[in-house]
Amino acid sequence: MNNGTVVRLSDVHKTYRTGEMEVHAVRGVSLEIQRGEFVALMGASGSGKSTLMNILGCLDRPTAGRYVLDESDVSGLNRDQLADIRNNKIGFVFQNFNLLPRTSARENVELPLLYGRRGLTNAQLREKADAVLASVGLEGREDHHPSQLSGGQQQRVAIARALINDPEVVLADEPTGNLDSRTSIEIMGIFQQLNERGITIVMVTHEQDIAAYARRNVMMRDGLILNDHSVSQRFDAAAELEKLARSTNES
Amino acid sequence: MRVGSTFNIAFRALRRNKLRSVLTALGIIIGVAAVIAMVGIGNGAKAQVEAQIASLGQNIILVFSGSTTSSGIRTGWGGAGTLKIEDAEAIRREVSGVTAVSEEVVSTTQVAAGNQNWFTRIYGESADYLDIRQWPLADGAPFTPQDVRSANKVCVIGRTTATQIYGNDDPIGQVLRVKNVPFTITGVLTPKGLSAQGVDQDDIVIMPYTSAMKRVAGGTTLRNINVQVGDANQMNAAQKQIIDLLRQRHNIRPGRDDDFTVRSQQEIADAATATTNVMTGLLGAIAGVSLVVGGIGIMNIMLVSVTERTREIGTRMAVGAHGRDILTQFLIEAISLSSVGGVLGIIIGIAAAKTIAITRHWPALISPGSIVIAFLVSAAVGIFFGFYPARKAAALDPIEALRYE
Repeated sequence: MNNGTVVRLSDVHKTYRTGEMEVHAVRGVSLEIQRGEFVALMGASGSGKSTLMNILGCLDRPTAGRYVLDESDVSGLNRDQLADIRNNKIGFVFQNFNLLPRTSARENVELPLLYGRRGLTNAQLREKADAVLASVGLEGREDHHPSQLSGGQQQRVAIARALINDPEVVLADEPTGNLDSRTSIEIMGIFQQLNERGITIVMVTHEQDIAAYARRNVMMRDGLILNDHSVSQRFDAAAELEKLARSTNES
Repeated sequence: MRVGSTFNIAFRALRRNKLRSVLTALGIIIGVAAVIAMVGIGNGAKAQVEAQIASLGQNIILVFSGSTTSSGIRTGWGGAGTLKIEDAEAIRREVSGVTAVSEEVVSTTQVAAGNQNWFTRIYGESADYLDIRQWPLADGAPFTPQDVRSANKVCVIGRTTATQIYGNDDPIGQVLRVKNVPFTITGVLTPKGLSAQGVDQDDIVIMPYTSAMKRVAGGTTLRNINVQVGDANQMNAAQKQIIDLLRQRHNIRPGRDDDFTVRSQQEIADAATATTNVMTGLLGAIAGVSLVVGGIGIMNIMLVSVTERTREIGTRMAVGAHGRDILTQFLIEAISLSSVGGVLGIIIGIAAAKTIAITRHWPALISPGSIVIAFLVSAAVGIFFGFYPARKAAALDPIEALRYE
C-alpha cells in the first residue's frame, strides 16, 4: 500500500439521455481522495451525489473526464473489467444492506471471494469470513441468517462483506438510512475504527450529524461540488454512545 | 476454479429455496418418470408379443384355406375350405426342407365328463403338432401317428380345461365326452397362459385331426396346415415351393388369385412388432409432452426467480460477478433442477413400471438406452428452458438491479 492518492476524478461528467431529454447529473467534478481518508459526500436528492457514488464504485462510467483509481485509469474499462475492479478494490455498504436472504452471515461475507480469482478452498473461505466477522463484532453469529439478525448486525455483516477482499476504498451509500440513531452511532463507530486502521472510506449521506463522524465533508449541489472542507468538530462514536447512555439513564 | 465456485454459488442458491427447487424439479420428475414407465411398459408388451409369436414354434409356415381376396370377394383366412388332407401330404412329400407338417381343423363345442361340462376349443392336429409348437406335456403321453392313422378317440387337454372338468383329480386315463363321443385323455399340456390377444391358450382339447374331422367337426377340408422347415435359410424357398405346389394341385391358371394364403411366422411377428412399436411410440410421445410441460415449468420458475432476485443479482454484480457468472449460475441452477429431476424421475419411473408389472401382470422392460436418453433429454430441457431466463439475468444493469424494489 502506498500513502498516495487512491481516487482521482478529473472533470468528470455524467449525462443521461431519456428520450429527448438530457439530464446532466454530474457536470464536471474534480476530486482527490488520499489513502486513509474518511469522506462524507453530502447533498440533497438530485444533487448528483448518487451518480458520483456509482462512478466512484465503478458501477457506472463517466460520459467525459478521467477516473484514476489506485493509479490506474478505469474510465474506459468494459463491463467485465469494471466487475473485476469492484471485486478487488472496492467494498460496498448499502442503505438496505443487500444481504442474500436465507443465507448465513458467513456465506454472505464469502460472496466476493467466490467471484475473485484466488481459488480458495471452502475451508479457507470460511476461515477468512469468520475472521472478518469477528473484526466487526459478530463472533458467534456466523451461522445466523439475515432474518435472525438486527438491522445493526445486518449492516455489520455487509461491512464485513465489503472488507473481505481488502479493498482500496469502502463505499457506503446511506449506511445508516435504515437504522435507529443509537445503531447508527454504533455503525459510525465501526467506520471510525476501520478508518483508524487505515482504511479509506467514502460515505454518502444527507444527515449532517452522520457526516460529522467523517474527517472530510464534500457537499454537492446541481452536479457540482459546492464546498469541500475537513470536519472541525468531529464526533467520536464512543463518546456519543456514552452521552446517549447517560441521557437515557437520567430520563 | 471460476467454474467450480459458480457451481458452489448455484447450489447455495438452490438450497436456499428448497421447497421451490423440489416443486420445480417435480415437473421434470413426473415427465421423466412417465416416459420411463410408459416406454418400459410398451417395450414389455412388445417383448411379450414377440415371445408369444416365437412360442408358435420356430421356422413355421402357415398355409390357410381360402384367400384374402377371391375373385374380388375378400374372405378371411381359413374362410373357404380349399385345403385337403392330400395337399398336406403333398407338402410333406414334395417340398424340400420340410421337417414336420400338421393338418389343422378347429371347432368349438361342449365337452363333458361325469356331471361337469365345459365349452372349449377342439384342435385337430397331427402327432407332430406339439413338437412344432414346442409345447411339452406336463403329464401323460401324446397321441401317436398310429392314433392319427386310425382316427382313435384319444386327446390331450390344456390346464384350464382339465381344471374346469376334473378339478384337482388326475384327468389322465379318464373319458371325456366330446359331442357325446367318448375320448380317452392321454396327457395334460403345460400351461401357456394368455395369448397376445388375451385368449386363454390352455382352454383347449387337442386330438388327431382325423378323429376331429370324422367324429367332431365333420367336413373334409382343413382350416390350415402348419409347416415346419428345418433351416431358417430355407424358409423363402419352401414358401415359394408350397405356393407353386398348391397352385398346381388346385389347377389355378397363371394370373388368377391363389385360393389359399401362405404366411410365415416371421411375417406375423413383424406385423405384431410394428403394432407394438406404434403403441410404444405413442405412449412415449404422450409422456414426452409432460416432459416439455415440466421444462416450461422450469422456465417459468426461473423467470420468476430472476425477477424476484433482481436485487440479489445486483449485489452479486456489485461485488464482482461478471454477466457470464450470473448466466452460468442461473443455467447451472436450471440444469441441476432438471437433471436431478431426471435422475429421480428415472428411479420413480422404474419403480412405477415394476409396480404396474407386478400388480397388473403387465410386463415392463426398461432398457439402459431409454434411461440414458431420458437423462440427456432432461438435462437438455434444463439448458433449453434455462437459457432465456439466465440471459435475462446476466443482462441486468447493476445500478438498476440494486435499486429494484
